[in-house]
Amino acid sequence: MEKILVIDDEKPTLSMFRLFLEAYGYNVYTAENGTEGIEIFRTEKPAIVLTDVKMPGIDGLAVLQQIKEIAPQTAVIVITGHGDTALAEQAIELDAVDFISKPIKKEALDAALEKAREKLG
Amino acid sequence: MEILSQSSPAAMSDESDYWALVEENAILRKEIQVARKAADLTANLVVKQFEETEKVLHRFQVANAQRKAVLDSATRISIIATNKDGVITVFNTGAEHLLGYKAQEIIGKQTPELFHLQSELEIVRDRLSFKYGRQVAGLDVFFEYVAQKRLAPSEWTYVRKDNTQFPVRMTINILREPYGDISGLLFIAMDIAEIKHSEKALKESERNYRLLVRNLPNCVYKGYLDGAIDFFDNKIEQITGYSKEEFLSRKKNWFSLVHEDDRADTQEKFKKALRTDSSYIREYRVKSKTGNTIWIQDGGQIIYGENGEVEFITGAFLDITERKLAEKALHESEEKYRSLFNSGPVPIFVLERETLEILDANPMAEDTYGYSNGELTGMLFSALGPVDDIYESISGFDKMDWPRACVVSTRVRHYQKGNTPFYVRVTACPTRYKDRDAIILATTDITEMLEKEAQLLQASKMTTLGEMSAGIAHELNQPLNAINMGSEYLKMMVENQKKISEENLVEVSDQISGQVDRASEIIDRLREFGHKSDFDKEKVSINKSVRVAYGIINQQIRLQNIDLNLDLEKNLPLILARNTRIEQVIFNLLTNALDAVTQRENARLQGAKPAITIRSFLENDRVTLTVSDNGIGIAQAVLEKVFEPFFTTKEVGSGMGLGLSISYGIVKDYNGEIDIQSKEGLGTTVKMAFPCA
Repeated sequence: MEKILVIDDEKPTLSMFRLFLEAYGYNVYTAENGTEGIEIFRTEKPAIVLTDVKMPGIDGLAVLQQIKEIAPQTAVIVITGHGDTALAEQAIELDAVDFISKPIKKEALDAALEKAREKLG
Repeated sequence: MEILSQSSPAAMSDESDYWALVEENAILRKEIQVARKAADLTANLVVKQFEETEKVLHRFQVANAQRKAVLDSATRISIIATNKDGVITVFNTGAEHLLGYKAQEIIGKQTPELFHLQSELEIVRDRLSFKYGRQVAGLDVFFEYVAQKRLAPSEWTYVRKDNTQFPVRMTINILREPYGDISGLLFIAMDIAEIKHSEKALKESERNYRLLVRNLPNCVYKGYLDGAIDFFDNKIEQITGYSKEEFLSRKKNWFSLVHEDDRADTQEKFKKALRTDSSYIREYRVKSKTGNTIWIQDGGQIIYGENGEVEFITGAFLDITERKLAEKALHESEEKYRSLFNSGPVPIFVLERETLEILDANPMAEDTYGYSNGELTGMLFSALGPVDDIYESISGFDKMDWPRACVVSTRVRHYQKGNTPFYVRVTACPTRYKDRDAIILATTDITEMLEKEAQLLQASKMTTLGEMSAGIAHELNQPLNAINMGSEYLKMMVENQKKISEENLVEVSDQISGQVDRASEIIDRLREFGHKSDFDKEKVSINKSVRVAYGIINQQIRLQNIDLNLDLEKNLPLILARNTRIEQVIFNLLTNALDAVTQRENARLQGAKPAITIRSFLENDRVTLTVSDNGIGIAQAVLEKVFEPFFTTKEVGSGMGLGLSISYGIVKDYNGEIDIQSKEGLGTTVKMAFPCA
C-alpha cells in the first residue's frame, strides 16, 4: 500500500482527507503543522505529500523545499486557500507537481493524484 | 358850689345903703335864683352822679365777673397781680394750674419772687444795679425791668411748687391808680414749654431740611407758572451748566431748556396735577449749556395762594441721565436677547434651577418639540428628556466662572410630543430670570449628524471588513472545505457502490454539521460587527469586546505567525458605551498593529518574534485597555497627526485614514481618553481608559 502524507493545520480537513485517501487505498499519514510533517516524512518516506501553504510555524513552501532537499523525487501537491494564486505559482517553481484549491473538488484531487503518480512513474 | 360859698360873705360885708340894700336884695334874689338853680343843678347832678355811680358799679360788677371769668378761663395763662408792696392780690386759675399752688395759700401772703428762678432774678438785678450804679433789689427789680423793657414780652423760667421748672413768655405791667399812682404789678405769663419744644423740633427739621437740600443730589427749586425758576444752591449748574443766577435774573426760562419732544407730555402732567392732587413726577430731557441732553426727574408740588391761584411750584430735579442710559442699554440688551431667544435657530429653554420647571421656551422649542408655548411653560423638563446630567452640571455652576456655558451632554435622547425620539446635544448655563435662579438650556438636534456619523462609521467598518476580506475568506474556506470533502466522499462511495462504515458515516456527518456551525459563527461575527449600532449607551464589558474583535482577526494573525497575547483582568467593572463601537475601536487598533508587525517582517528587521498584546486592567478607577505591538513604530512627527481624519501612512487605496480618528471620536463619546505612544522601529502602544459605569 502506497504511503501518503497530508499536512494541514485544519483538523476537519485532515480527517476528510483521511477518509478519501483511505477509500482510494492509500496508507494515510497526517500532520497538523510543518515541523510534525517533516518528522513523519523523514521516518515514513511517503511517495506523495499534500501540504497546506498557509500554516502557523513552518509554512507549506518551506515544507516543500525541505522535502525536496531530503527526497527530490517526492511528488508534493500544495493545497492553497482562497486567492493564493501567487503562492501556487511559487510552489510550481519549487517543483511541486500540482496545486489544489480549497474547497477541494474530487476531480481536482483526482487530477493532482494522477499527476503525482505519473511523475512517480 | 364852691363859687357860691366863696362869693356871698364877701358881697354882704361891702354894701350898707338902701340902694345898696335894694341892690343887695336884687343881688340876693339873683343869688337865691342862682342858688336855687344851682341847688337844682346840684341835685340833678347828685342824682345823676348817683345814677352814674350805680351804672358804673353795675358795670364794674359785670366787668369784674368778666375779668374773673377771663382770668379763670385762661388756664394756660398765669395772671398774677400784686399791690404796690408786692404782695399778691390776684392769682388766677391758670396760675394755680401752672404753678401748682392754691390761690388761698398765695393771695395776701406771697410775692411773685416765689415763682422765679433766683439765678435769673440775680442776672437782671446785677445788670440793673450796674446800669444805675446803685443796688436794685426786691420788687424794684420788676419795676425797673418793666421800665426798661417797655412792656415787651420776654422769656422767663417759672418754678412750680414741686420745684420743677418750665419756660414762660411773660408780660409784666405796672398797675396804676386812676390818678397815676403805682398800685402794683401785673404778671401775665404763658406756658411755652410746648411751643419751645415744637420750636426746637421746627429748628431741627429746618436744619435737617437744609442738610437734605445740600446733600441730596436733587436740585431743589421754586418755580412759577411763567417758567421762571429759583434755585437754592448751585447744583443746577452742575446739571445744566447754567448758574442759579442766570435763572434768578429771569434770563433763563426753564421751559426753554426742555426738549421739544417732551414738552407736550410735561405740560400734560402739570395739567393733570392741577386737576388731581397738585403733585407730579415727570421725566424729560433738557438741553445743557454745552448742548448735551440731560434726563431730569422732576418731582413737584403746586402751592396755591389764599385766593386759589397758583402761587408757585416747589420741587426738585434729579439728573437721571445715567439711569436713563443704563435703562436704555438694558432695554436694548433685553431686546437683543429677546430677539436672539425668539429667532434662535435651536430650541432654548429657561428652567427653574431647583425643579427644572420650564419658565419660558422659544418658538424653535415649540417647533422642535411639537408643543405650544402654553403647554411647555410650567412643564417639567424631565418630560422632554433625561435630567440627571443637567443636575450634575448644575452642581458645577458655582465653581464656574459665570456665565461660561457648559455642555451637559453630547448625545441625549429627547422626545417630541407623541413620544417620537430624537437626539440632541444639551448646553446649559446659569442665569437669573425674573429674580429667580434659572438655567438657560439650549438643545441642538444632532439626529442627522449622528446618522451621518453612523454612516461614516459604517463605511469605515465596511472598509476594514473589505481589507480583512482575504483573511476572512480564507477562514471561511476551511469549514467549507471540510464540508465539501465530506459530501464528495459520500457521493463517491455511493457512486462506486461501496459500503461506508458506520464509523466513517458518523465522522462525516459530525464534521459536516460541526463545520457548518463554524462557518455560521464566522458569518455571525461578521454580521454582528457590520451591524449598524444605536446611539444609546449600554453597559459594556470591555473584555467581551476584545474577544469579539479577537475572534474576527485571530485566524489571520495566527496564519501570519504573529503572537497574539491576551492579558485580560477578570471582574473588571463595566463601562457605559456601545459594544459594537468598542469592538470597532479594538478591531481598528488590532488591524493597525497587524499592519505594523507585518511591515516590520517585510522590512526584514532583526528582533523578537512579531507579537501583539492586548491588556485590560483597572487604573485610577478607570477601565483601561492597551493594544501593543512590536512593529515598525511611528515617527514622532507622524505621531501627532494619527488621530486626524484622513491621515494615513498606508498606500493609496489601502485605507481611508479614518480608523484612528473614528476610534478617537468613539472613545471621546463615551467620556474616555485615548493616547498613543510609539518608538520608531520598536513598536507602538495605544492606551484607552473609560470611567466605570
